[in-house]
Amino acid sequence: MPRPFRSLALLLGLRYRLLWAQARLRPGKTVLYCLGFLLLVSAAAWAHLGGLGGAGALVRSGRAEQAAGALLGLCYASAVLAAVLLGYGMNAVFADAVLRRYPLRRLERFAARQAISILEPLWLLVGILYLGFAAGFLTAGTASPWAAFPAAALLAAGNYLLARVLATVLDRVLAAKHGPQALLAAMMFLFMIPALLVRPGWGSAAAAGIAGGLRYAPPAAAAAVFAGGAPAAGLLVLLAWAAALGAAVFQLDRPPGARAAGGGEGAAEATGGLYGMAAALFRGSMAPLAGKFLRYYVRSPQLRFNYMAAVVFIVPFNLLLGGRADAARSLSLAIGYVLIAGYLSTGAMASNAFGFDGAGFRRYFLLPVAARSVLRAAAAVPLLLGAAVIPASVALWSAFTPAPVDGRTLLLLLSSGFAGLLLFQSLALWVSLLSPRAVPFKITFGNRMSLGANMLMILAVACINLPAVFDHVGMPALLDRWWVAPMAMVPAGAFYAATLHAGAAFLSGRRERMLAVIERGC
Amino acid sequence: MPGNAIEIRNLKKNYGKATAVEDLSLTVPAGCFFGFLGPNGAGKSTTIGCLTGLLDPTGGSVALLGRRFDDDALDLKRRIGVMPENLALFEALYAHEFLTFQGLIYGLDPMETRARVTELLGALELGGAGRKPLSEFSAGMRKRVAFAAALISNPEILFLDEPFESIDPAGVALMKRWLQRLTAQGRTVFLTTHVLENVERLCGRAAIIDKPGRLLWEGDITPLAANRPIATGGREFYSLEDLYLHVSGKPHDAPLDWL
Repeated sequence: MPRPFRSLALLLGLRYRLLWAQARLRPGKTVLYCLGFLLLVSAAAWAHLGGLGGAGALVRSGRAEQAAGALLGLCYASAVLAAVLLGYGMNAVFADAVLRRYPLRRLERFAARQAISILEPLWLLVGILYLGFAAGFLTAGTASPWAAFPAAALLAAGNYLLARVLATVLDRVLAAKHGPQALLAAMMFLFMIPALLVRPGWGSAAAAGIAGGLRYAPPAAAAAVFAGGAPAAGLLVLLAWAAALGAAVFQLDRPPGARAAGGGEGAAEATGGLYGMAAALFRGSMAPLAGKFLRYYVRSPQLRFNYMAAVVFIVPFNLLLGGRADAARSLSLAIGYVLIAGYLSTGAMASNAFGFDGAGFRRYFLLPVAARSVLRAAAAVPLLLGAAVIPASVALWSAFTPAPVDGRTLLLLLSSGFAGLLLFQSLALWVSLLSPRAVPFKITFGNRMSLGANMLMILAVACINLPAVFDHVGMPALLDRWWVAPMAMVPAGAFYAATLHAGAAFLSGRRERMLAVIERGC
Repeated sequence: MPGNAIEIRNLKKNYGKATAVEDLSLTVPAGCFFGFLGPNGAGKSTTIGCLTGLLDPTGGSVALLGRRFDDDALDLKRRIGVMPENLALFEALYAHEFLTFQGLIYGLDPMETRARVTELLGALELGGAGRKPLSEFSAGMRKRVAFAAALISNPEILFLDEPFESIDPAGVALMKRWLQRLTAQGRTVFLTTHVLENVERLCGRAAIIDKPGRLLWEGDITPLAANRPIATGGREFYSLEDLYLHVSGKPHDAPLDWL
């Protein structure tokens, strides 16, 4: 075997040996088997539904090419969103700096890292889905095997490469000084402004133009190959996309220039300054600990973006789901949103309070400070940051909502928000203690949360729909019972206090197990 | 300072079914520069973990400055400084922020902390690091920061796990001078390293342990600095390396024919 391929095979083998070693080191074998089983079942179902069944139905519909283009486009976009926003399938496993230790050229290092990434479960499923489509159209007699299977492979590869380009660009933007703000503004422009400005009848000419352009998009090109419309042209378009995106990924793979160290700041800034002032809100050993946690939250590009997004997202969320005229719906949606807004703003770090410390986690137990103080400082910072999101979101909602806003409405929303914040921050603390995960502080994008944190986030997002049960109650009756929300703060606060009390003993008792996970990342 | 700074009695530490330290008993007098030696995996870091309150011993007891280490020993922790093996830095902080955090949490007032941080950063040539998080520091600079953090509270006992690795000779010389000043003042330094020359030159006493945390030899090593031998097991040793290899029974050579 030629040397570059041998190196690639060795690295791929190492990746899976590491994965297996991880499963051996912790009670992960069961999880691994379950995931493997799920993957196989999903693969079979996806290939069948997306392939044989789907293709047959599309061919029978008489508009196979258009329908296949739309379906493939939906899958393509979903895969990109899952990868870019949620971080699935984006693990590089080996950083370029790690591979530099080995006798590998830059192109070989690049190929190894991308080959490892594309073998993540998400892309395997996406590839299987596209191959299923190809097989389905082949069975229906519209496609040639020489064109359909390469087209499916090129479509999957291009799909991965597009996600990688977008993720890298977003990563760079977020790492820049005002990147999170710029990205948020761009997203608001993309998603919110058109939703506000679009008028009936505007679309026909523009839609025709967009549809014409989309003919050269990868899903449409693949659909043309599958449906037998223009296989050669379709293959060429797919090849061009894959090549262009591959070149872009290769170019973006160079690490950005190292940031120059700024001028020397003295110790004066560390004891004073904004962080020092904020930390001074706490007493004794809590003050420096709170200052430390605050710096971590504020300096994380991912957290900065999440925080700002959590403040402003209430507006597009309300407009898109509630329409612009339904006052009762707008209020129930707002209740649902504020319930989790405080948690959403800091959840990625709050539900893994110590995972970002790495080796620093050990220091909490070497310092002359009680575990109780460490836990309280870890809990207080996201609670305060999250609490600031709620009035800001409510104020924004008040400016846009069609619902009448009075004192009861504001109390209802604010109390719901604070009750939800106390509840979810308590749960986040338990997740931090029970399901920690070693995460590099410098991450800017993607999902690096632990299994427990992911489950909590899913629970939180599901809670958005909880107040929909009030829709049939009607707005006047809902507002008449506004006092329920402040009352809900009492049990939520009690749960929070109990969590702090019990959690401290838990942190102290579990520290050796947590050290093993957080320090060694296994 | 009279008495013993560190007393370890029948220390035992298990990780699950694995034994890291089996039955270690050791005494370190106050004011001693103590070298704690042993092969990789012998249990040195685990012992330091138990001594500094990081790990709970499975059996036996440890006492520092005449006091047993328990959960309420925060005032005892205030009297010791630790530079752990993995440095345990908060990577997102800047050097001056990290040292300030360390000073404040050890109970120094802000003015005193500020003064000590400025002095330490200057002396350890870290003053120019500015707005650079610790994660972007070189290995040597990170070690200097961890050393400064262990020193900032002017501890009575200082635990150092491989403190000199990756640091340039001028930095090492400065650190050694500071450590010798500490012991001259009656403070205790507990040093773990694989560089036996450093132990021979700096320490007054040393202990050699083997897997799993069993004491092989312990005693006064000051004769070596004066070119006088240490006698043990009916033999005389003029260097710590010879003594170490003898008591640990490690092979001196291995035939690598392909080399």
